[in-house]
Amino acid sequence: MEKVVFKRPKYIKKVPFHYCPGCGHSIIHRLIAEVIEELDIGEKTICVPPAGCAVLAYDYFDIDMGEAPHGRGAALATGVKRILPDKMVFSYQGDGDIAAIGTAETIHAANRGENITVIFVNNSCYGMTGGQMAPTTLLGQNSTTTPGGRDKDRDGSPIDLSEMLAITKGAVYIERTAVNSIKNIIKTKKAIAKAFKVQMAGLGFSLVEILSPCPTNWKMSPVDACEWIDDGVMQTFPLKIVKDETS
Amino acid sequence: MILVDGMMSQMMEPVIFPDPVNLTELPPKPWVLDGANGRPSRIIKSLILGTVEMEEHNWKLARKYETISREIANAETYMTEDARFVVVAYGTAARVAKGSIKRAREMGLKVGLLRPVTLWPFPERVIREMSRSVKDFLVFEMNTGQMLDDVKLSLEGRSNVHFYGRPGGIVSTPDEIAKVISSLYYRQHLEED
Ligand SMILES: Cc1ncc(C[n+]2csc(CCOP(=O)(O)OP(=O)(O)O)c2C)c(N)n1
Ligand code: SF4
Ligand SMILES: [Mg+2]
Repeated sequence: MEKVVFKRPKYIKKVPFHYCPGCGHSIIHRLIAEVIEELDIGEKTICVPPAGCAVLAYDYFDIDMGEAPHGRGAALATGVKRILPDKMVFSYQGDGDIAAIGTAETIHAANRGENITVIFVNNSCYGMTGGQMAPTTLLGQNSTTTPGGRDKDRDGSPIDLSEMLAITKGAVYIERTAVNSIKNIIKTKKAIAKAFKVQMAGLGFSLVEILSPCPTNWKMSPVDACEWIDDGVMQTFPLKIVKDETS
Repeated sequence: MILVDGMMSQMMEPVIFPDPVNLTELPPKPWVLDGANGRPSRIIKSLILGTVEMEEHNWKLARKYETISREIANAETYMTEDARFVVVAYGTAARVAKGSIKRAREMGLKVGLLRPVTLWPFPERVIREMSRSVKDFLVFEMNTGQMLDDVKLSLEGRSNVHFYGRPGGIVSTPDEIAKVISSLYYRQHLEED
């Protein structure tokens, strides 16, 4: 008898993704869809996609999707969740989206302890617009706006948004994971599931920061990009549970 | 979009609220995002990436604007029936202008006010029709002339357009504008029949 061990998740539509080969967004979409299916919350979940490569998530997830203006995911999610407190509401945001133009909205949503979940995809650049420096770009990292590498004196140092959010009283659960290896992918899925459960239990603000490869703008092969997350990105953004007040 | 000037946040006066809207009679919301329970999932978005779809959408918006221009472009008139001289002003400037028009009327000058209620779309038809009997318009603004071109374009040279404006700082008084009106009125010989 046949046993299905791998299939398209129920809440991903049957359309091709536009993501580049080796892009972390594809993996993260799958993980979220799997968690939604496993928690059986597809019919009560609303996702707020960002401005960024993942804006087209609205064409990929087979759940209700409401696009936010650039950076305002947490603000829009706040509105939806407050009107519909029994639904599951999460925003999906890139590092340029959340840590630059959307910093204020994000910090205040966390500080108010909004009962929402934020999936924060950190690929250390503005992916969609062609690889400009983001607040999270590493020192020395090349980008189209930091040719020759990000310079601390000229460009400032990478910002650790998760740590910043962790000091707010309303943030309950924040974890930084990565999708550059099987092991890390499994851990990421667990973190997403935990964040959703935090919301379902009404505990407050939860966020998973996911270090994600952008081979196209990093100008690397997908394999090298995954390795560089270990050797480069994690040196600045170490994987860890940044805050956990659930127990 | 409602255009407000700084004065609005600094004044108080009695207002009469319209009757409250009956919230039980709102139209259905077939677009709402409340979880795709027993129905297909929905998308609310502003992004249109396809060039063909984008142009179609922009034409749709253009047609919508045409309809709006026809249906909601609107202006209030005050003492314009017999006016030979009309002040065009909006917002706080229109309030100041009303006071100045009362003073001008006391001096026996036939002056009225045209207050665009909507600035975009601009009530060009109202102004153009008025140009049949009014040959002198004074655009009065609390800036250096942001509406001036709209008035000139609406009139297409049919009447004279004068301007008086002061940038942010000191707010003009009704007396000050009454002086501007009367000096223009006599300069244009409008007191003669
Ligand atoms: C208000 C506004 N400013 C600028 C843009 C252009 N823009 C689109 S995506 C983007 C950056 C996205 O970077 P990130 O959030 O890191 O997402 P990624 O594409 O890397 O996943 C920018 C600046 C926009 N859409 N809206
Ligand atoms: S540009 Fe980067 S983030 Fe965007 S789809 Fe390609 S690999 Fe992914
Ligand atoms: Mg990014």
